[in-house]
Amino acid sequence: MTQPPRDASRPVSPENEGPTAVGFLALVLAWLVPGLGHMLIGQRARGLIFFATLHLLFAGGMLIGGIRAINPPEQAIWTYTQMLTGWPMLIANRVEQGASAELAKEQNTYNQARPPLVPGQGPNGDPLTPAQERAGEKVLQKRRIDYATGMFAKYPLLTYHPKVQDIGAVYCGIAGMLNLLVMFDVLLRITGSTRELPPGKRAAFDGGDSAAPARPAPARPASPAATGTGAA
Amino acid sequence: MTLLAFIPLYDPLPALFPGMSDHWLWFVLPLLLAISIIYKGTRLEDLRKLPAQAAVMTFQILVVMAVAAVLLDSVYWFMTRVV
Repeated sequence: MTQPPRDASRPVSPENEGPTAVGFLALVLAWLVPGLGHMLIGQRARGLIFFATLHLLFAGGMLIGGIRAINPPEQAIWTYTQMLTGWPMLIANRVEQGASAELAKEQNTYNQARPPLVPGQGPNGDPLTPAQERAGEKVLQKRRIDYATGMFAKYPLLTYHPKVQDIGAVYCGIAGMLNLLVMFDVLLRITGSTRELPPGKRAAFDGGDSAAPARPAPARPASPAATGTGAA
Repeated sequence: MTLLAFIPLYDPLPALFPGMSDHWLWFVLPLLLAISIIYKGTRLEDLRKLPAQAAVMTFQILVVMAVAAVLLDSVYWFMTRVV
């Protein structure tokens, strides 16, 4: 019996041997470039939507929070999820490593050069009276504020806005988690699998608009485990 | 700060617009929209339905979050004022 020629562009082989090389490549590329996996398996419109949405979300996070939204300190969970975004995170992570060194240097410069808050002694070395001390403190405080304002204007990276920068980290992290969902969708499509639904929802989905049940699944020979005919 | 010193995607946006920090909650909206688009994109076979379905899902999440916020605030109020 002659077998039909194998179409390399199809993610699922006609012989039901599982995903083709294109399918596996699509899965890897789905991580590396969000949306590209779907484009590769023929779902171009879907892939474009994923590509645009995930890239915009990640870029939005970095625009809002800056480079400090990447690898937020003491919140490693966001680093892991951000890594799921693929190439944007690989580049951002590299830039962040350099930025951390620059930030530490600027922070050190700032700490060393900022005027002290405690007034010194009087011009002749005499201790200051409380009134002189209060007046001196105000002057030093103003000098310190002016110095900090100038530093922040010169080095915006030094400015820290916790809530907004957390939002930036969340944007980039959620982009990674959503890309994981997209990768699972590629996996389902290249294996021809369908999502399992509770019996009550099956009818609703069959008549509805869900992709999963409507997706044509390739006919596979039932496995012994599924039919319960396997050896105990 | 001046616009020239600001490097997009590198410096935080509030360095340019310091008032943004007071309105951080609004940033939830684009996030919810993106979540809805991606989720519905994986579920819908007919992508023409995507905009409407994503908008509905965004609204549903917002409503659930608002209800959760009210409930949690009520619990907090009860625990601090009554108990």
